[in-house]
Amino acid sequence: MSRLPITSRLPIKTLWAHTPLLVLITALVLVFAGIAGAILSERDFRQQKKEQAEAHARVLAASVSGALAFQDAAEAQYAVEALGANPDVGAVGVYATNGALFVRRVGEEGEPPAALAQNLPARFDDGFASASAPVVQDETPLGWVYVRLSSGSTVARWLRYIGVALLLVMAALMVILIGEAQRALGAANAELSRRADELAQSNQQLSSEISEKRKAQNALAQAQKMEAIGQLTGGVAHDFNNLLMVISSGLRLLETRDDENKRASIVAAMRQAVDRGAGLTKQLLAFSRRQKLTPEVILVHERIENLRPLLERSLREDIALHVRTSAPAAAVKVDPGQFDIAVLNLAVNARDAMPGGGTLTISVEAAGGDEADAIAVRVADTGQGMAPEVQARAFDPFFTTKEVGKGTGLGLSQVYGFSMQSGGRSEIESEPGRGTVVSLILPLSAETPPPRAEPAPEQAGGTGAVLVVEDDDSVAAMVCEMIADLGYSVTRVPNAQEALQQIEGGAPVDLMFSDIIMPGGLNGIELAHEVRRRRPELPILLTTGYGGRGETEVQGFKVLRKPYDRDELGAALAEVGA
Amino acid sequence: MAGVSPFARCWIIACALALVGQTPAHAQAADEYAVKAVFLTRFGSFADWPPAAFESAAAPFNICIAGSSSMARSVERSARGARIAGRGVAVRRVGSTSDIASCHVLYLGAPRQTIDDYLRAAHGRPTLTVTDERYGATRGAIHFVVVNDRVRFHIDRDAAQQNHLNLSSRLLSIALSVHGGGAGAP
Repeated sequence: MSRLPITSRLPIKTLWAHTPLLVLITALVLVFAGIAGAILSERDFRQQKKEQAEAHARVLAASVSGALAFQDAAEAQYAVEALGANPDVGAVGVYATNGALFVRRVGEEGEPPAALAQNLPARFDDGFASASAPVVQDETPLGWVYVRLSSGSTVARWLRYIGVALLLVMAALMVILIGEAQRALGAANAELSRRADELAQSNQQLSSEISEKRKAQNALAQAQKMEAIGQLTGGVAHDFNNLLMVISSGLRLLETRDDENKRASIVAAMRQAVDRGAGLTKQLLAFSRRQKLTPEVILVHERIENLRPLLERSLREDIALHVRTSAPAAAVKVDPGQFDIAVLNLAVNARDAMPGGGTLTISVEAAGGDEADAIAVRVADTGQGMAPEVQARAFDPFFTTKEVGKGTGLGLSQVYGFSMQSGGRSEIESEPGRGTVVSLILPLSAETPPPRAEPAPEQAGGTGAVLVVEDDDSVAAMVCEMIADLGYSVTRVPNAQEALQQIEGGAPVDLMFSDIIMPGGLNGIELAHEVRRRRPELPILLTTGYGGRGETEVQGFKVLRKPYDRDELGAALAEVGA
Repeated sequence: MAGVSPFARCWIIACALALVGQTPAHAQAADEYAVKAVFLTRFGSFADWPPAAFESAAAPFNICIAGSSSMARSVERSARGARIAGRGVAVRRVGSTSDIASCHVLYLGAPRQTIDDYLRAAHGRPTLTVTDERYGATRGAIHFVVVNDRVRFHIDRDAAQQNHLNLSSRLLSIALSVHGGGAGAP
């Protein structure tokens, strides 16, 4: 599992990292610009007012020159009052050349200076602009005038500034707000990427856990198989001892008995024992094969019937086995080996639940209910049953009620795992004292099972020369005997080298029958390739006792699996030679 | 009072003289002379003077006093350091109509028949004639009166105009009365 691609977040993150500083600077710049603007505006305003006061003073100076020159106070007062018609005009004074006040106007803010004998520079204080001007008529100084101008309503002026200040504050707030929003966005972005990182991390963890679990499951499956084999081993060893007992005692009897009838019955018993042993080893090989889950389409009923000998070995004599089928043609797609193990596990559990003997019933039937497309394999015992708390944990791995050393706790968990992996499920119905029914519910498959190999024709015979390559003398003797009995002429060589010499030497050989595992030099497969190269038309049959995967062909050569009997050998030779 | 102009100083001296050791009647008369003297030195500033009124660029502005020697003294005092029409001011006493040729302001403190002679002599010249009710009802361009103990004056604009003088509206606005519309003014 790959990490989530998160690429474009880093540049954004670094950009927004500076946002608070940018916002602060912008807000400060705005405020300073506002203050500077206000100061400039105020200075400009004051300058304007001073100039206005100067202009008024000059106008007044011009209009009172006559009155001042000829000491006409009434006329001067008239000019002063005319100026006072302007609401901004406050105190006004007209002064003679000696500085004495000639006429005056008292403003709301106060009186003009009591004396003025020089030109005062225009000034602005306390909201009033004041200015003076000399009264001159044709170069003759006549006196001075003084004018004070109100700068208008202070409140109105301040209101104007407050308005501007409010606008500025609003702008600064907006900037801060936007900055804050951007900062929050950046933080959310960082949080998001952190979460994405976490997600990627947990994703990785999860995938590693999954692979760990898969490994554990594989180990568990193997352990479950070993468990099943362990369960089998006791019974199988016992069986083999019995078989060996039959054969060994039969051989002893054959040595001493001359009566043909007796001998025939002894040989028949021995053959039966060998058959049973061969069946058992086949099953064991099938079991011991380490294989992955390779689903195949199987007929459930048939599979269980084939399993019956193994089941019988696993059970005790005091337990009766019944197999009942109401759905003989039911096909499911499962791993056959796992299926066998599951059924075997259930049978062993049932056996252990019936220490005093009982009946084990395996039934194959439609699952019923709304599961029309499923089949149920139920394994029922008449044993002690399970308490509810045991039943609740029965499918857990390593949970067991058996004594230490007797159970691994893996049996039912294998059943559970197998049913889940096969797309089905498993159920337990149990009551203490009334037995247990474990059901494997598997989905039906629409496919049909592959056709089975046709049984070999009975008593196949043949003619021709067979070259037998076999290193083991006793096996070779037995095999040569059987081939001769089948009607062939036989030549036996102990190794590949001699086999090649025979064929090179022009000996009459119509078919080569070789063991695969041979000491020294070429093995059977290599020999087969050599022979095919030299005599492509010569039929070749190989044989081996190793389990492998149970193939009937290796690299294009037919293989006969050991052990085999005379009939199977005859059929294989006939098939290859045909 | 360091920056006080010479004119202001005279004014103060005049006031001081008026207050020191004078009878009320004399004081009033002296005060009247002083005020009229100041006015006489100021009238020149409120009129437009044609270039032809002066003999040369360096010629002074002449204030001529006919008859009253006390007025002449007062004017001499008040005119000290004064400048009119860009020139220095000279105070001259005139004894006959033949002396008025270069007078710019002519105060007539003389008997009435003499006043008429002077007025006739000044007619058509660039001379601002000033008469005084103290010496009769004959009026020049400016005629001094005393109203409510204050020195005031009437203006005959036509008379000024006939002598090619245009009086400032600032002066006109101060006058008790203005006679004549000043039609045909340059």
